[in-house]
Amino acid sequence: MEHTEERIVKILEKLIASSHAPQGQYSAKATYPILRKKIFGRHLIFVRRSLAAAATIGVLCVMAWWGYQSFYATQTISVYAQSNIRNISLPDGTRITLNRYSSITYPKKFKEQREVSLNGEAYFEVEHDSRHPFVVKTSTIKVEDLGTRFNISAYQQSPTITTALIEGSVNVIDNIHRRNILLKPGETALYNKKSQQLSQQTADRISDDIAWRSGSFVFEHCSISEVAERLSNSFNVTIKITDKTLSDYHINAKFCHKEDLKTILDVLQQAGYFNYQLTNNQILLYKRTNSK
Amino acid sequence: MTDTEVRKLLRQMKNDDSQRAFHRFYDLTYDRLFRIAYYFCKREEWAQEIVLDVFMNLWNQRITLPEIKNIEDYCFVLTKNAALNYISKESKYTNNEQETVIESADTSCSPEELFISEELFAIYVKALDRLPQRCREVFIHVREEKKSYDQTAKELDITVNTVSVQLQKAENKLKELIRKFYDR
Repeated sequence: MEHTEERIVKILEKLIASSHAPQGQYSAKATYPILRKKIFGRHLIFVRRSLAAAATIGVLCVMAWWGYQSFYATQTISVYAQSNIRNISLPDGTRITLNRYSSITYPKKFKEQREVSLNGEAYFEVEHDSRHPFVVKTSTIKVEDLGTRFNISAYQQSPTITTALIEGSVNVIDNIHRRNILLKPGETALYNKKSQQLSQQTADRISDDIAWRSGSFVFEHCSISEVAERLSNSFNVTIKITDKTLSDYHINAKFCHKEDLKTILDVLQQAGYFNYQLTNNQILLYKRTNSK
Repeated sequence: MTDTEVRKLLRQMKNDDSQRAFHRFYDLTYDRLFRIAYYFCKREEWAQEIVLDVFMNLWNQRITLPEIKNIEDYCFVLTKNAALNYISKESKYTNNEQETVIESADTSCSPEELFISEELFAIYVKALDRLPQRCREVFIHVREEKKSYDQTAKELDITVNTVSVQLQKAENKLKELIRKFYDR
């Protein structure tokens, strides 16, 4: 049968009339919060703060219950750092410096083991007590102190967890595969969450790892992607690199005067490393073109 | 939505239980499923509820999703079934008779031609989804929401000329599709 333009147009009109796009309160954006609550509820959010990889919903419900029980059973204290670094003293005399947007949770009363949980980055000066080992738990690894000073970087959104030992001795333990590394001063253990590999490195720049304590940023032969990650963690902003080729470009830079994010980005832009743009609450890094 | 991107998201949902991937998948798929649900039930509140249930099912079945050959068609069927179920439940309370045949007073065309088969509608929805974003937005503003070229140009921050060009592009593609459908 021949279909004239007129008929086709009529059919198209019928198609258009048969349905329409969601708008207003029925739009995708407006509807998502309802969906999220329906599927994930509140328990899952609680659990995601303390687990790296989520299992099935069944297991999560159990964990949420366990967490809930734990809280009431042992009276834990949580300390959160926002845009400022925080110093804390634990009841046992241990001193902790919490980096920005990091948190530490510990029980009001320590048990046999002095256990604290970390999300983010912190520097520890542990009061040594051989009868009560001090243990820092992150999502997948724990660090057992055997004496004094170390730094752990365990941001949830980072693909790795870094432990740097300054003084004394610590044991870094991988919970999943039951492996451990005993660190000596100057050594760093790196845990890759994806490959689940625990490896050791001699840190020739340990002082740079803890430069953050004085509000400094030290980038020594750092790739732009690492720079973006560290700035993103410290200032709690999303930083995206738009040009893939930019990610592997390495730079050297030092910021020792508690500069804010804008200043740091401006300086790096001036130096010709990249162009940046702030849009929609995120920062985009572009390759620098020489067309100007 | 590109097929490879969707496949990647489904894998992340399965392997990492990634809520972020699910949210992204939701953003890519919601409008199309809403459209389908609305086609069957003709009510916005119902369509929203139906689509919410479908997404909940998709999340619960996330382990099996990456293996499905054609996820678009699968979602269509899920949504259709959910919609028909919903309607049959609701009709127990509201006594609504569901119009599935769109009738026309125009007698110059035979009834068969004006009956929008579900198959054609499915193809239409897929094609709409595949239009370039700007093109689809213009089509929806002008033809669905019945806005003027001027208003559309203002809301999408483009020139009236662009509106005209994009609209033409969309309509040509869709008309081509209809022609192909009836000529098969």
